[in-house]
Amino acid sequence: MIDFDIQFAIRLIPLMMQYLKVTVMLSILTMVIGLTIAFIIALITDAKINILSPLMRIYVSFFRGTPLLAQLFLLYFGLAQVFPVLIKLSAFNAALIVLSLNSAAFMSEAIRGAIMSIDKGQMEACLSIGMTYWQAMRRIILPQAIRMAIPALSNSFINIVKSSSLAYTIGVTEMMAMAQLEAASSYRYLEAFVVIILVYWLLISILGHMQSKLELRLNQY
Amino acid sequence: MLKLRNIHKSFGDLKVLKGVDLEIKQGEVKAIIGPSGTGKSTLLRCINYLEKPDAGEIMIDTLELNAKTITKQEIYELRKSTAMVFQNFNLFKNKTVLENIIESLVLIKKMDRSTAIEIGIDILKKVGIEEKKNVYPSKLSGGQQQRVAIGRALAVNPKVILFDEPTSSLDPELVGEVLELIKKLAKENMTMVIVTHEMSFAKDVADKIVFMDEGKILQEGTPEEIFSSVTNPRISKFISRLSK
Repeated sequence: MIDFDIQFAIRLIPLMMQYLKVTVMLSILTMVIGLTIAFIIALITDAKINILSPLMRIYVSFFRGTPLLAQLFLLYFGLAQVFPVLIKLSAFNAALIVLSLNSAAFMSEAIRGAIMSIDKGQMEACLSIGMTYWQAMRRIILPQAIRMAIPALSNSFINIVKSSSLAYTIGVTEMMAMAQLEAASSYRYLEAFVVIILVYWLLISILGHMQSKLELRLNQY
Repeated sequence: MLKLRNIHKSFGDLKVLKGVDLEIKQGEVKAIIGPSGTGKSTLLRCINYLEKPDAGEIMIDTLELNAKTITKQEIYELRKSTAMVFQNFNLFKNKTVLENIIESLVLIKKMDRSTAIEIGIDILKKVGIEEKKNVYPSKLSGGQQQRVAIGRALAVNPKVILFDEPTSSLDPELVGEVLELIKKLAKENMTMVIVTHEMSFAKDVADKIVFMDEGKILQEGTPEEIFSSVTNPRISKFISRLSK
């Protein structure tokens, strides 16, 4: 019957924590790079810059319209056949690149939506006192838009943390890979996956808590 | 001081302004009245280029701008000598009252912050809302917000302030404080162009009243000329409808 080896599960926890670092590092780096790209895309799209703007639409369409796993395999296994430079690319970096590009597509839409939700009177007031479009964006529009975008961006970050588990498929030893390894060597699949799911859940609950704190702080006006 | 010559503006097929000429002298207060949809607000927005006129010239002091050849730099110059007060206030929501006032001083005029704050406080005293200087706009009443918006316009130190229906979105009991402030500015010889539906206020505060209809100026004159000795049937119809 139900045979849950608690001892084994508890022994797994410190091991998990060790690989949690990889997961957290991959997620944070993805968020930083992805968010930077997302802002650039959103601003280019909003300013309707010639040539670049339609290219960004294609970019977003591609990364939103295809599975993350397929993108990961395409870069790491597929494109490496065409561009030999990519063979030197580590699995971690490959995962970081694909996760960043992918999450940027989603986050850029969240930011663009938030910018569009700001009353256009705000921009007019900026221009009327002599600001340039970019000054207005930086000083007035983006600070308001970021606050609007926080819930959607937090969702994206949560998705990044969970999606980072896919990196194990190309050989990054992060939390998921470690759980898989331990499960296979001990045949204790139940314990390994229960523990990893709890760790993810805990990690993301902490993120959710930080999100509410952040929203509270930004809600001063 | 401010001269508009033959301003044209269309939105798609709709011709909103069909060749408007207007002249505003230093220290003059001009009210623009007329039926809805006749291009009053559009004309005002053309003056500081929130709308780009299709054709025509804008002259302000020595600055002469032609809609066909205007450059970005010229638009910024124009906006530095004009300021706009909007119907919906449009205060910067993420800035406090004082920050709203000093934004143009710090960012456009490159003043250091402490000088800007000094000037900002003076302006807040003038518009009578100094005690709210550290409050965000969402915590203010409509009338207070509009007074801050007028302060923000004053901070630009413009040659002319453009008012786009400054009391139209205010609750009736809050209209008074805003009109009083505009009257006060008129006494200090601030040059102003005011689009308004408040006829008695227009009569009171304006040196000249401009009646616009269907994208053109139908008549211009002193309040007495416009309100008492009406010669044009369209104007008399408009005024009698309002005074009912």
